[in-house]
Order: sequence, then C-alpha cells, then structure tokens
Amino acid sequence: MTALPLATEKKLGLVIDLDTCVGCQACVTSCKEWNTGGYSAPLSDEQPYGADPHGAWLNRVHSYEAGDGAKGRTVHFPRSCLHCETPACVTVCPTGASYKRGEDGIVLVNPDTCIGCKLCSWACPYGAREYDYTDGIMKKCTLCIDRIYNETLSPEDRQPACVRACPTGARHFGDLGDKESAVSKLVAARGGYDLLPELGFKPTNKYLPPRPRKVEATTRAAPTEAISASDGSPAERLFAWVDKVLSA
Amino acid sequence: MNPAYSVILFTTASGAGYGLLVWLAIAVLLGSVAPSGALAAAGLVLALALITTGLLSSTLHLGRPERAWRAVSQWRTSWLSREGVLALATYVPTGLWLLVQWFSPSIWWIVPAFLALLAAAGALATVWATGMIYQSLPTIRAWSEPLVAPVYVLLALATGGVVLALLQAVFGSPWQVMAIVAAVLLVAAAIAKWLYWHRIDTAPRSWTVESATGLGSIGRVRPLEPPHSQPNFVMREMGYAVARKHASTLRMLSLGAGFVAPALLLVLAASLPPVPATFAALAATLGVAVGVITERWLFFAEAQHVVTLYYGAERV
Amino acid sequence: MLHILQMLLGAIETPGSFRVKPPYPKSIPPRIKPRGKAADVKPGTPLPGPQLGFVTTPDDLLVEDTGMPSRIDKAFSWDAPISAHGLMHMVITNAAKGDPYSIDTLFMYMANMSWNSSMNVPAVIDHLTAKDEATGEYKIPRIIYSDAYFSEMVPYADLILPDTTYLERWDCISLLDRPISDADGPADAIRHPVVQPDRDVRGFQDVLIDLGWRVGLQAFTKPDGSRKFPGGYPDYIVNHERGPGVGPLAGWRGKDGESFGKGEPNPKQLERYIANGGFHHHELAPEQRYMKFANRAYMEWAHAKGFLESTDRLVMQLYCEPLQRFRLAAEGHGAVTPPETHRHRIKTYFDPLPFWYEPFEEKAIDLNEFPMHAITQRPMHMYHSWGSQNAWLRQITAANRLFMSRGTAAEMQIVDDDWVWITSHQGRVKAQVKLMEGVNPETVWTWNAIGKRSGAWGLDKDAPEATRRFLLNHLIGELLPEREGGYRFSNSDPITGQAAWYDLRVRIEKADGEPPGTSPRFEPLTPPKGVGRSGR
Repeated sequence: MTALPLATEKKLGLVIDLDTCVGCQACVTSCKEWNTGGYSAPLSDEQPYGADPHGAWLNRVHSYEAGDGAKGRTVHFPRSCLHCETPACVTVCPTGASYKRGEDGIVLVNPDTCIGCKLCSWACPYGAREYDYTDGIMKKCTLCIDRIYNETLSPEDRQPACVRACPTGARHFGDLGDKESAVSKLVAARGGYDLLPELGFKPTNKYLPPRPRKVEATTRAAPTEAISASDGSPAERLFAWVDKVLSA
Repeated sequence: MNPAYSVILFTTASGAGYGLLVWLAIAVLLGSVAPSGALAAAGLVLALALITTGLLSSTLHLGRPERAWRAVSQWRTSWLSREGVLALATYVPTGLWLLVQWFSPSIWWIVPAFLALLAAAGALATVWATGMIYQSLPTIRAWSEPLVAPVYVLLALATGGVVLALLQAVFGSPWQVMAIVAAVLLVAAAIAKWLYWHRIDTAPRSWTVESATGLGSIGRVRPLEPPHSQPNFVMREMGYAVARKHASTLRMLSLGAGFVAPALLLVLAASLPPVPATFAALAATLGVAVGVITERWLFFAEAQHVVTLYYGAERV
Repeated sequence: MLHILQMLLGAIETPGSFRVKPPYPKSIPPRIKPRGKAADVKPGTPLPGPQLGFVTTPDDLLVEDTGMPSRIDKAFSWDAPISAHGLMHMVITNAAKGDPYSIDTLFMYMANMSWNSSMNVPAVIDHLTAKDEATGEYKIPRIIYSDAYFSEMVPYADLILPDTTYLERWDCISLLDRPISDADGPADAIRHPVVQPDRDVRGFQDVLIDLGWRVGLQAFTKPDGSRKFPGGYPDYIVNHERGPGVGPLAGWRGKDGESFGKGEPNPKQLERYIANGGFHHHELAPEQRYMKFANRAYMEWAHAKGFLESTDRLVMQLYCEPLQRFRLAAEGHGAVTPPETHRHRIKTYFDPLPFWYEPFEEKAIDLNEFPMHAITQRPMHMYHSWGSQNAWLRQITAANRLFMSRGTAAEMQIVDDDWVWITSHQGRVKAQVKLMEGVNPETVWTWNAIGKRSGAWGLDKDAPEATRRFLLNHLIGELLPEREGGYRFSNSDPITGQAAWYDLRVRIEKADGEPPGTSPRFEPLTPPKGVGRSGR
C-alpha cells in the first residue's frame, strides 16, 4: 500500500559521520555482498568484464571537495536511501510494491510486485533507487532488514552490513525517533543535518558535518591589532611583542 | 532526464488518440458528425488504435511488462496508477460506443451520445493524469510547473483536432470548422509551450550541491571522484542533458514545423476544395507529428533532476 | 622516522599508542640469517637455512669471495645489505643483463613483475624477449610462470602453471607471514575451497608439493620414497612441522585440538577452523597485553609458544649498532669489507643514527627540469583484491586520473579534464587531469595498479583499464645512472633495498593539439583459446 503510515513506531535509520569517513568503500562492497544474497537478491552487474561495467548498488560513496585553498577539505560522502518520513518514491508507485513500514519506518520495495516503471527513481532526489537492468525491478537499501531482526545472527551482527563493515566507525544505526537513543544523542551533539531539507521529504538518516579544523578552531585575533590598540609606550609595546611571541 | 522513446511514443500517440476521441464526441454531440456513420466509426477505430499503440508502447518501458496489470491498484496516491485506471475505464464507453454503432446503428441517439460524453470525459481525465505524473514530481523543476498538465491536455486536443480535420476531409464531410479550431488550438498550444519554456528558462535554480551535501558551510562544493568509473543507472536515467544551443534549435523546429506551419496549412485547407484540402491536412498532420515528438523529446531532455547535484551539477 | 619518534615519546605498547600484534615483537633483530651463497647450494640437499633473514654484520652477507652478489636480485649484497624482503623488482632486469650472472630459468609466481610491480615497464617487458646478439638465444632462455589469471606476464612464459583463485583453494595465513593478529592476541586464518574449479587447474601449493616429491626433496618425501603429503596442501598445512609441535597453523593443535601454538598435528584442525569462520584468535590475558617487549607474563608465554627465543627483554635501538658495523667495514675494519666501488656508499648511508639525505634521483637530475614530485598509492578498496579486475571493484575504479593542485595547474593554464604529459628522466606518459585542493602544490598523484594492458586479465580489449588509465611505473627507472666504472646501482634504498617508488620527479606539460587518450599503449594481448572472455 503506497499510502504512508501517519506515524511510525520507530524511525530506524543511519547516522553518517563525514568527519571520520575515509572513503575506503568497505561499506559499499559489504552492502553489495550482503544484499546480492539477501532481500534484494540479486544485485546484477552489466558487462562485469566489459568496456562499460556498471551494476545495481544500494550504497555509493562520492568524494567531494568543499572550500578553496588552505580551507579546502576532501570529504567522502556515502549516499544511500534516507528512509524519509514522507517519501514520494512510495506514493508515486502505481503497484504498491513500494511501501513504508509502520513499525520501523523502513522503506522497501516488494520484489514480487514491482513492475520496473522507474517512476520512484524519478521521485527520489537522493538517487537512492536503482534499476536492476537484468532483474527488471527497482532495488534500494533495505536497512538490512534481513540482518537487523535476524535471530540466527549473533547480536553484534544484527546491524546493517555497511555499519558492521565500517573500519572507522563512521556509520551508526539506531532509532532516530527515540530522543534517548545513542544515534539521536549523537545527532544532537554533533549538529547532524538533513540532505536537501527544502524538498520536504524529511529524511530519517542524518549526516554529521566534518569537525572544524584544529587550526581554524584555535585561530585568534591577529596580534598586530593588540599592538596597535596599545597606548604605544615602549613598555606596552614590549609586552605586546612578548604576548605575540608567546601566543604564536 | 533520459528521453525514452517508448514514453515519447506513448504520450504523443495516446495524446492524439484521446484528443481525437474528445473532438469526435463533441462533433457527435453538436450534430456535425453522425453518431452512427462511417466517419464516427473510422474516428473511433483510429483513436483506439493510437491509444492502444501508446499504451502498449508504454509497457515496453517497464522492466516487468507482464506485471503491468498491478499498476491500477494504487489510484489513491499515484498519478501513474490513476492514469492506468482512467485509461482502462475510458475503453468501456469508447468500446460500447463502437459496438453500438456496429450492431445497432438505429438505437436511440441518446445512447451513443451519452457514451461519447463519457468517453470524452475519460479521455480528458486520462491525459490530465499523464500530465500530473510529471507535474507532481518536485524533484524535477521543469516538470513541477503548473503549465505541464494543461499543456499535455492542450497538445492532446490540438493533435486530436488535426487528425479529425484530416479524417473529415478524407471522408468528404465538412472539415472547415474543425480545421480552424485545430489551427487555433495549435496556436494556443504554441503560446502555452512558449510560456512554459520562458518559465523554465527564468526559474530560479535554487537547489545547490552545497545543500545536497550539506557542506556549504565549509565553502564551494565540487565533486572530486565519482563513486564509480562508469555511469550508473541514476546517471543514465536522470543525468541526460541536452546542450542548451541544441535545445533552442529544436524548440524552434518544434514550434515552426509542428505548430505554426500546420496551423497555416489548416487555415489554407479550410479554404480549399476537398482534394487539395485533404493533402494540406495530411501535411499538417505530419508536421504536427514531427513537432509534438520533438516537443516531447525536449520535455525530457531539458528536464534536470535534482539528483544530478550529486553527480557534478552545481545548481538545479 | 615515525617509529623513532614513537620510541622517543615512549609511545610504543602503552595504552592508546602504537601497539604490536603477536607473534611480534620478535628479538631485535631476529636471529635468522639468510642462506644462499654458492657454497650453501648443494644438489640433493636442502639449503642450510631460509632464503630471507636478518643481516647484522658483513659476515652475514650473501656475497662470494669476489664480492659478487650470490642472489640474482642482489639482496644481502653490498648493494642492499639489509634487504630482508629481497629485491623482487630487480630480478628480470638483472637476469636479462646477466648481472650478477645469467640464469637459464626464471620461475615466478603471480607477482605481475613485468607490469605494475615493476619499474621502467617498457624496458622490463623488452627484457623478457631480449636476445643475445652473438648467439641469437634469449637472454632469459626459459620462463615458468604461475597465475590464476591471464596477467600481463603470462604471454611471455614458456610454461604456464595455471593456478586456482582464492575461492577454489586452500590457503594458510600463518603466524609466520603477515597474520591477521590484533594487538590483543595472535590470530591466523585459512582459506578453503567454496567452489570447485571449472577448468583443468591445481592450486600452486599443491603443484609445488608434488614437484618437491617428484624431484625427491626430503621435506616432501617419506623415507620409503612415497609422498609425505599425499593430500596436497591441506595435508601439508595440518601435518608439516617446522619444529617439534610447531606448524603453519597455531590454533586447535594437539590430538584433541585443545592446544594453542605448540602441539601435535590435529587431523581435524582444518574442520575446526572452518567451523569457526576460517580463523583462530587467541585472546591474551589482560596483564599480557601491553609493554610486550618487557612484559614477563607475555614473554614467558610467548617463549613457551615459540614466538620468542628467550625471555630477555627486547631493547629498541635508537643507535643502530648493525649499521655501524657496516660503516666500520667500509673503513677497512674486519674480515669482510666492501669492494672499492661500494665503500663510499656504505660509509655514507650506514649511519647508526637516522639522518636525512637527498634522494638519489633528485641528486642526479636537474630539479628545474623536473620540479614536481609524483607519487602513487593503491586505492583502499583494491587492497585485498588479487587483481583490480574484480567485477565489483572495477566498477568503483576502472580508470585513473592525475590529481594535481588547482593553484599549480592555474599557473600552467591547465584546467580540469585537460590531457597532460608527465615526463621524468626515464620517459613520459599521457594522462587526464583532475584538479584538487588537498594535495601539495609541488606534488601530483594517481591511483596505482588500475591500468591493465589491453587484452589482459580477461577484460575486453577496450576496457577503461586499458584506455583511460596510466601507470607511473613507466616513469621510474629501475637503475640509477652509471657511476664511475660503469656500474649502475638499483634505484632502491641503499640499506634495505626497498624500491624507491616515491623518489620520482617529473614535469607536467599540457598535451595541446594531441588526441585525447592515455599513452603509452602496448600492443594488445590476445588470450589463448579458452582463457578469459574469448573462452566464454
């Protein structure tokens, strides 16, 4: 059913730390590995050994540069389904294959009823839905629904494959609807934000911004100003000079 | 957006078919076409052929066409589903109308008239739903314009009107009024389309890669490395971009060959004897076909999706 | 340099600092000496020790009385005395030049030594088919090569031993060689076949064990002459003992499988590893986890397990006595002294205290002509792939650009996507530029090991790896310029023989007016029937 639940009991989602992501692609490949055998199986590859290799992936990592010159930063930017609260990808679906779960807010595609019309990919601003050219249906992040509730896995493995694989702890999984959850506290502490909030889809996943650089954080007012603000007496200028040297 | 030929063919062919259906119904209701004559029958068959070709073509766009029947289930939220429901629903009065003509041409006139009215209403609603599939997508600025669905309807009526004028000329039925109406509709559609292009050209491109990544507080954002060396589905489907210069040439071609020239030909046809008028109407129809297909191609190729911000677009 | 700083700061093996993964630390240096002098090599008898080891005095060197290196790669010679890993990157060049001597057979395994593991690739490829002008014979008469894929080296082999892939074979990631340990305990692992090969291949280790028995090597033959490891490599992994109770795998040893480190071979050992997900991890007791170089609880345990030769505390050396021994030899002290050609080099670089010196390449060239540094690194996601042709990984990176500082590029009127020539004293390659801020203005860099020769690795001939890629290897000389007397040292560290990949200097010029596309391209390879895509 493509009508959205009025509210979900939980808002399960990811918190992605852009400060610690190093762009190693471990989450990308572990996602592909799990999901090509999981709920979304298969994740097909086109021309795997040919001139134009491409395939269905549910999680991709971009690298961006932000800022210029010495202030420029290289930021690795994982991008997957944000499990929005009001996802247009669900409501546009003509078959009801796309749906948002009332109990945990996860957005899923039913692989048995999807007709591969691709309209949901047009409706998603985040590029989270990918068409599987071989399977003929849409594939998307399931938040590893077949791991997080899977009692045959050990408790520490009941997390999305991407979170489990991240070597730097840049990915966190939890209930963003619960203000007391670890992920909610992390978002509050680090100023986690939404992507493209102006489109109004209310993404559940949050991104943590890169921390300010230490050099930026400790930049002080230029000492020369302190000198010019002094009364100009030799003693004052001497102290100002000492202050400058010591604070350099 | 990738201009998929199956979708271009679907929207233009079925649009003309539905437009033809509407004018046929109006002509019958106004009494200018006999409700149970050869012209009405030919018009209905042609309309159904155009509509059905379009709908079949649209299923080519599907990854799993054998499941297409499922698409009628979600009419409560999905314009695509509504379009499917309306398209199928429109077959009922249209088909009955055709049957009535075939088997009981002498039936009380109110029956075919009522069916025609229903068919016309269904046709208009279906084309409106097609337009709304696009207009309801906020992720594509060029489509979430209030002119999109009206232009779809206007173009359906104009192309359908041209086809009916042609049919009338072929059948030796008075065609002059329809030719003038179609010419007026073409001019109206051209004006609407021109207004639409003006709006999308001047619309603020306020979505930025800074907002898409949330990294604007650091400074200007630009891609360093894409996630994959070769284009992925999202780039192939949503990343199609036509060069601006190329697009403006095609706009002129579409307006000139597809709207202005056919409108003039139709005005000319209205003043010619039947045989030359038929050829003028045929030329106008061919021009409209070229024009509307070009228009529809541009509708996709010029539409920039917000997701392109993640793949190198600075602002959308 | 990093480790010296850590030593000075006391930031080794303390909580929160650099920590060592067992079975390390080992004694410094380990008391293992390399063997392989001409006198060590006797038909029908094993080498009296390992091929690789830790040289600490000139007496340990593998040089003949004439001063000639004993090994074809010149490891443990005066060229690179403490080259504990060998100088694999020099083998083809040395063999073709007959320096230090000619060989009749070159036998290599899967290292792709004439492509992205080599310097000066065009010349090294030429070496593989170079002929002696006088006799018309190949300079390297026979090449035997084992690989699971149709790599760039395979077409040059006279005999190919087709190998299995990781999914089709047994492997042992042993405590003897780069195990998977963490700082809180030693760990080792196996690979086991999960699919059966669909072609006529055997794992390389199986083949070596078989060959060993066929030529009658003691280690692979029972006294009655029958095979010692009839089950091949898995049999060897379980039953081989390099010392009493010590074998390739440390976990689940002993008849009952309850011993760690030392114990009789356990016939069910591999089953235990598979049941545990393919690895064994031993958790150290909390009191054993820090200061392992001087931690009695750890050292006594490690000694009992055979990791350490004694329980004497290990002393980290800031002043490196073994280096000083070489310097003294260069000054004429001791029985083994370097030949005249090497004296100055040994005396200069074997400083017992660390110091900086100008890299050899920079010293030899005009820096105005080659003002930029060029470096390369393997992408993180490619680290544990055999070749970068993996169907998933190649989707992530199938082509490489030259990354360059935006400011430097602006001075040269270079913009994004421009094509440039990268020129070193050795040669030039053409690449497409991607500008960025996060790189030193005098340095350019690229991803390594993406480029493939067209037709290799089972990829289509027009794969991006063949058309939109380049290797910096083409620009790096494997030999330094001639010295007096015509001798050419390897372009490697004078102490360890580590290849000097990072000393490269280049200049960048816009490739104006030339068609886009990377250069050089080599003649495409044609896979034999049944190999790669031609076989499908």
